[in-house]
Amino acid sequence: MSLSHDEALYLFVDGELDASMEEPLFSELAYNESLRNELKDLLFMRNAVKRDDVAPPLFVKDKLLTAVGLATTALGAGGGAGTVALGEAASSTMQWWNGLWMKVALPIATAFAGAAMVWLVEHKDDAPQYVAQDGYTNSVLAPNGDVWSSRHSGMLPDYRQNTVTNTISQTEGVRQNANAQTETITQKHTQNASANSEDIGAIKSAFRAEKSRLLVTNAALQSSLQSALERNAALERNAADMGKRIAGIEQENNSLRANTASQQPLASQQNSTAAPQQAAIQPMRFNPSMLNLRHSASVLPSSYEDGAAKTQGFTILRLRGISSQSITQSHVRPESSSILDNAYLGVMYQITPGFSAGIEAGREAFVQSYHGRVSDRVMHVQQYPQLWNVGVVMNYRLASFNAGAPLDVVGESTVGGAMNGGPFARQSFGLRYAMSGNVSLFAGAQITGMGYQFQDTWFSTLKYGLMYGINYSFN
Amino acid sequence: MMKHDFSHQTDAALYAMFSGTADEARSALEEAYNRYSQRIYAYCRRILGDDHAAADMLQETFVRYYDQGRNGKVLLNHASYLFKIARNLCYTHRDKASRIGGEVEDYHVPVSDVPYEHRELIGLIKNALEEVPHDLREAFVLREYNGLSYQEISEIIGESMDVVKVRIFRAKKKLREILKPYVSEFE
Repeated sequence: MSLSHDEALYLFVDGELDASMEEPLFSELAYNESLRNELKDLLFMRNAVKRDDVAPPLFVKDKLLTAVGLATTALGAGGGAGTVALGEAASSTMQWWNGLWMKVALPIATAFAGAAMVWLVEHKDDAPQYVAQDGYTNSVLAPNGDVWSSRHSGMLPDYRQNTVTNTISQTEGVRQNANAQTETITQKHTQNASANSEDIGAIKSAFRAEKSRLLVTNAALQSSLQSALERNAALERNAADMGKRIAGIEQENNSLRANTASQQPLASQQNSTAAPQQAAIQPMRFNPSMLNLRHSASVLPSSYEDGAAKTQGFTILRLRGISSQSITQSHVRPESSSILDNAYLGVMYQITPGFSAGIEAGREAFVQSYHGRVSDRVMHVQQYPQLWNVGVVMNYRLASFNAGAPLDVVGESTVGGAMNGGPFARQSFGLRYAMSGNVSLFAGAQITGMGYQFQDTWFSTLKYGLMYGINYSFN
Repeated sequence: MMKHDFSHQTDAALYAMFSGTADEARSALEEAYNRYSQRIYAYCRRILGDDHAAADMLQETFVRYYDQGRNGKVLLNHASYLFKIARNLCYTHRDKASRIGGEVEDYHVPVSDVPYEHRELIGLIKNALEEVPHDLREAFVLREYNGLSYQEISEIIGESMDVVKVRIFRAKKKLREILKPYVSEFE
């Protein structure tokens, strides 16, 4: 193959010229000044290129080792054999610490702060409510310390009129006899009534004493519903005992009544002219329902009722979908309309009838794009991450906006972090529809703030959209 | 964690250790990275004209190289294979960048410890390279920046030796033509 002189020169400079062709080239160089200048220019270019020998950034090796699962937090992780620079080690440690803070500590701290806020909002009225109803009037405390609503009109014993009539006979002897018997009967009835009143007083005193004791142990009893139920049963047994005692008293009353009736024919035979005497006797009939410790459903949680559906203390499994649109333009926009690409699976625990908390994990896919100026240069770059998020969720019923069963207005706060991104927080409001059985549906609006790293720079963004899903309650 | 000294090992031996213990794999990958990262990075920088993208391509190149080693893929020329991966990644990146908004511009600021006259010369070469057609530029970069032989370049770009010779010759001619007015200032 024949080569021109300059072609041979270029091959020679690159070490690719066949040795047999070197001699003609050198001979030409000796006479050809233009060729010699070309050689000088080639060598100049080569020297210039060598000066543009930039080492890759130090962080690339760390990111590489992390990407393949070989990262370590030890100092000097990114160093070569025996040549690890102290600066590289420090840089690695700082990156590790920054990553730990942004991905772990910050979301956890935010989660605790959010949970504390929700707890305070949910419980701000609890203590005054119980204290205010703790009057020492006509209220009776339930065994768990909650206040019964007990009005006299509905709870006082049922009195029954029982009239005894004595007749004074025309004869003095009969009259005296009848008077004596009437006096005896009246005394006995009065004694019975007094005894009954004492019983009622004793019962009231017992209740008041129990009430005082329960007031003192209110907090402890609240935390132990099971214990309270057992106490409830014991009190009900006491009520049954009291009912038996009252039944005995009534039996004695009936006996006295029979005696009185037996005197009436005798008085009639004497053709009495004396005005009949009436003695109003009011033996107390103690209604066992007075000791019925069933409370008002409007005061105590309905979960306290036997046979009623549980409204707290159970687990909820749920699936939630997210569909969102960026507010801050040019950073994040939805990548996929697929439901599963933006879905979360969560496990919640119903702490009170209106409040539940749990954790939620799922995936969100985005295009992260940046279009702007950096160092006076126009930049346009983008990537397609799929963030795996884990967060703490607090769900609360907004009683002020009660929509009426089976609909509830609910709010929800989520804070957490992405395994391959930064922290995020989400606030949702919507409606929850309780279907028959254990299933409920929910839908609403949500707004999300999130941080993410792109091109070694942290960005933050806000996006809004819909959320929708389904709950299954294990109650 | 144990630190191995694999500086005396061949590329093939390092590659085989990717399937070993975590300590071995890590030390082997670090050694391979120390050997080739600068050349791969130089190639990506000059092909893409973007230092940040070049760093990403460098990282991804070694991730794929490592994955191939773990999967037991047999390689003969490791340097050539690394450049092939980097080349494919750079081409994909360029195509994607051009689809979403035109050429990705460089915002790299040269490090401050490089003398001013050198920075100016480096900038001059960089700008001149951008004037050279892409296929010629690639051949020039592989030869001058990466020091590869014509044979190795031929393997990487999948063209014959004659094509490689012609491309390098034309690239240098073109660069010389562009730089000629400035050469006397730097001599």
